[in-house]
Amino acid sequence: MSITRRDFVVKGGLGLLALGLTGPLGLLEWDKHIAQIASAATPDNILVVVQLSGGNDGLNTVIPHAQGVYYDNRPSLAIEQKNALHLDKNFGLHPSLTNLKKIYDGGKLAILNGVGYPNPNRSHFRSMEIWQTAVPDKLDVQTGWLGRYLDLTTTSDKNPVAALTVGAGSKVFLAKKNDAPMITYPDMFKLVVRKASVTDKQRRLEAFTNMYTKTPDPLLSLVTAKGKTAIKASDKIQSAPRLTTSSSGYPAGSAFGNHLELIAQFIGAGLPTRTYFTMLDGFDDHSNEKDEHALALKEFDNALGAFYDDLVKRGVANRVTVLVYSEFGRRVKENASNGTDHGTAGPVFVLGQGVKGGLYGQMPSLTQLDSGDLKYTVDFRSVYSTLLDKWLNAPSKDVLGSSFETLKFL
Amino acid sequence: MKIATKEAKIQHLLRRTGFTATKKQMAAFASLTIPQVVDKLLNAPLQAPKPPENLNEKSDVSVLVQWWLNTMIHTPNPLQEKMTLFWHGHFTSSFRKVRDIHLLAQQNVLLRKFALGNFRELTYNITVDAAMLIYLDNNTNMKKSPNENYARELMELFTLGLGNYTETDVKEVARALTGWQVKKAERKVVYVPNIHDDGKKTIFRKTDTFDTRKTTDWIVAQPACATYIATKLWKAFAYPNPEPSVIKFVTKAFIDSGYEIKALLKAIFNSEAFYSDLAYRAQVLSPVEYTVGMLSLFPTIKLVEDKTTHALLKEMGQVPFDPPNVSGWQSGPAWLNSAPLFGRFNFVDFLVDKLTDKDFPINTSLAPTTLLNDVLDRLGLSDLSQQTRAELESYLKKSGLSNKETIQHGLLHLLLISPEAQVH
Repeated sequence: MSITRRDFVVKGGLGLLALGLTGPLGLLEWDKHIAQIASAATPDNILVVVQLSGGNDGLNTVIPHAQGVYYDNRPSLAIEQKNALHLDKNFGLHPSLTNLKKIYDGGKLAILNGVGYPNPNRSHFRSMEIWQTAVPDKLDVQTGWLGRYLDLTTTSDKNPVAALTVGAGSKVFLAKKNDAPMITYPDMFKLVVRKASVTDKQRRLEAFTNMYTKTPDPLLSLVTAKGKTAIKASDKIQSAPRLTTSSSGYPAGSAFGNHLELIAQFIGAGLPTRTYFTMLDGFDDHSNEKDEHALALKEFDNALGAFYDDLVKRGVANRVTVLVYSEFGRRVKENASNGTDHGTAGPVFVLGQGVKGGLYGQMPSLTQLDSGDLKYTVDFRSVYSTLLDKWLNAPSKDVLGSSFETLKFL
Repeated sequence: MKIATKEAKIQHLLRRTGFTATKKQMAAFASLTIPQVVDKLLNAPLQAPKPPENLNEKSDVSVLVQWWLNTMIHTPNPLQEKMTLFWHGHFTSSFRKVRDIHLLAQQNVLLRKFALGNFRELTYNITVDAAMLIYLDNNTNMKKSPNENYARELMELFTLGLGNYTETDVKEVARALTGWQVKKAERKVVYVPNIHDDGKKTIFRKTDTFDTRKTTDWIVAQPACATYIATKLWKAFAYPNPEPSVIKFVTKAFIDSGYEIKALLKAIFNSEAFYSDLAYRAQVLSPVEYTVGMLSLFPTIKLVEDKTTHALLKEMGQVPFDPPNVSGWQSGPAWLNSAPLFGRFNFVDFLVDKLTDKDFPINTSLAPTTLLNDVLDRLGLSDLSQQTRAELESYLKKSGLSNKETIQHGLLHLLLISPEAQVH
């Protein structure tokens, strides 16, 4: 039996763990040689993580259109069978998701049903934190799952833009050795000095850099560290090849669309960023959900469709995998205000040229519920571990603290 | 001891209770003891500024944002505005969902009225506030099949904190809070008895025919509430990770007073821990605090109405009436992410470009060190670190003092983007 490079890396990681050289979260000082082999295997693979914030109604996203009980529970909200974009005889996508349907038909979209975690938390913020840290059973975890991945593979000194948050912040990149920058507009992402002579500008930049150096004061040292991250990332981004537009049809006036376009530009420009995080708000709908949800999904679908096309046009689509999740799904039964309340498990999307499209996971029963909510069938950490092992070539067990089932979507 | 002298204590107190602590402002309190200063700040006459008139559904929210920023800049009672801002981040609502900014103006008036008032009353009043009813769907919470949105956030975010209620409590509280509707055309809130569930509910082990008043009173009476609110205010005004003993003490003052916010603040501001090393420069200024503080230092520069100010506040991460979600704004280090930090720095550049000698005169006939001290006193940054001070002096020396405008713009730019100017 030949050992592939990936097998070696994963098994190497497990070996070190077995020797007890790791902390509770597997934060071992990753052997440099192994890390190099890991990144050499697929140095160009990129993961884009999209969070749909507010608790996306999973049952109205991937619709179990063959089940009468779905229609019984949702007299005003259910999507009619004939309107769902049929994936097979059991499931269909929300009618807003036409671009996703196209990608699905092209075999590049994996839809994972019933993704969740044990003892679900119905708080938006706690649940988001659980998805971002990948540690459901501990509070105050100070690292995110991709932050731990970063710590195993690089440092901010080596690559200040190894990870980028575009738009709103999260805990996903919180790390011990890395500080991932956040960006919205490249034009504003620098120390602007408008009206000054060249010499004065230079003097100000110099003084600024010197002010933002190490200091013994605890809070000031945090401020200076953050300022340094900003400056280092700014230098990298401002000196990157020109960011070109692709004239792909991103939805007008959508911040989410702008964020995805920026990510495509960065990838196209060859920025050495391997993981991106961005989010789309607007899923915290609880009344008159039918219209609100359709609009939110439409914005999501238009932007993601444009992003996918953009990557193809730029010739970089084979390097990018996109993960889409929401912190939880919704209650099966609708409420009196034509909406749904906080629930549990929901669908996850993974798309990209490297993805084996199709339906994965066991759809939770709509009748055997956990106080009105779906019981998860796939642990979200299985999705992460598959992406880490098979796409980012990083030891999932060291990032996640234990082993999870590998899924077949890659 | 970092806050050793009385002067340092007053400066620290003014920074936390207001937006600036200049030498001139500090001088006004010089003859008083610290408890006297605290009393003076807490008992400053309450303001009730009127929001702009003729707001309608179509009015741009920036009208309201500008009005509030100007209110903060010009108020004689900055603590009341700071508390209003605090409650807006706590009992938050967003124009994106409420849509009618007149209702957000009403909510802002309510938050200001109760800014230093009774927390139990505030909790009840915000529960039946029109903007809140819309924002968290209690407006459509009906007996038939309740909408749990408000009930959950009321306990998770507004009063008790995660882990201090059960899923059953959420469902029962949702039932108890049914019955309210916003008449959007008249901008009035009405109680509609036939959509209220008047049956018995069991909330925190007590069974009763709970209505809204009984429910909010009963939630506030839960021991977790006083601790949760006291901790949040401690963190907002003093420092993160407070010791349990400190929280116990201020929580007791809060409960003993019958949930008076002023009594809680008084206990915080008079405590020894508030002036300990842990408290000194322990807070990151929020973008609104940062911007308001700066604009109030240069009263002749009118930038509140400028679109660039609005855009840069957005980049910094905080536009009033536009919180990212129901938990308000993430504070602390989150304000210091790269893009928000550049937002701050670039706002300062935008501001200093407008300055002329009459807006903030600088006496270039003084020696660099004296000149710097004078500017620091006027900005309220006299306790700058040695490192930053050395850099600024070096900048002054390199630039020479011949070009007044260069000095004014360059020095103020550097001072206001210095690490110290981001914190308080």
